[in-house]
Amino acid sequence: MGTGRFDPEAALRRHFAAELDAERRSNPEPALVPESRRRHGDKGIPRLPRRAFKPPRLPAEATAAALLIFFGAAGFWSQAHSAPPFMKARAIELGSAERLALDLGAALGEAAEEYRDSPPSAVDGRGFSRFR
Amino acid sequence: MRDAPDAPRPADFEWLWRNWRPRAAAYCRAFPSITRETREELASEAVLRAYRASGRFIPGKPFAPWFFAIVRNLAIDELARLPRECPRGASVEEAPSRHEEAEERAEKACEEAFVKDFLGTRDNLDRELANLVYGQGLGAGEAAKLVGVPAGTAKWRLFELRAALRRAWEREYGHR
Repeated sequence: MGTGRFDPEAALRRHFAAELDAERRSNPEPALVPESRRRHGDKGIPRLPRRAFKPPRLPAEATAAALLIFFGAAGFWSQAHSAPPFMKARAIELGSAERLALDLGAALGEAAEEYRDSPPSAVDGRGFSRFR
Repeated sequence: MRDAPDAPRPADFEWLWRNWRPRAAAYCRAFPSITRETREELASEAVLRAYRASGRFIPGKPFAPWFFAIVRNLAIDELARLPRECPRGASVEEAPSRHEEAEERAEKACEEAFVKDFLGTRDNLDRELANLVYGQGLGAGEAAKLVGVPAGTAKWRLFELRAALRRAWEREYGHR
């Protein structure tokens, strides 16, 4: 077997080189996403590193400060000036709507109480349990 | 076989894939209970992880130990998921021979088969060290650090491995 003395290190190197060669030939084309990740819906990895630009988010403190300034200014303005007629009309409309909503809420509350206090047969003929 | 000839570019996915996926798969052959399909999966996953962790690679340092540490962690995780029983060297695959002269090809195939069978009889640590040093081009110290043994132990084991291989060869084919 062979002409020279057996060199174990060279034989090992040849063995591992052959394994590497086999691996290189087994899958030469880059499948950019491993199958296991693709199965789980991974969109994959970019060919080039892609650092998405994220615009700086408005900090919560700045938002709160802007709201405070706005309402402060609005309050100051409403005290310094009388409201124009169209605003008064709108306020009356809103007030009416509020009263209407309160009346409706009260009526619903009464109806609910009646429902709760009624006997089972009167509530549901099909045997559904009553709410508590 | 040290690092690929060009400078390491872990942030370049194409470079990682072309140069290091096959090496990761070849290294995974050191773990006999890992199947071919899993090996490819692990190699792909290792490349992906290396790419995503590329920011942690320190330029100027050798790339191979850093990369093979990732591969090894993945392989060990995979082994932990497998059943305990694994026939030693049972799935070490035979590498196909190249197209060369018939005699040389036959000799090479014989040697490859012999080395494959021999490695199949060794324990996992020997096989892994040999793969890292003779297959992946790591130094004995780097390989020792990677597998978590003292450098002296790794060197001694590799020495013993070579000596045992020589003895086995001479038993089989005589003193040539």
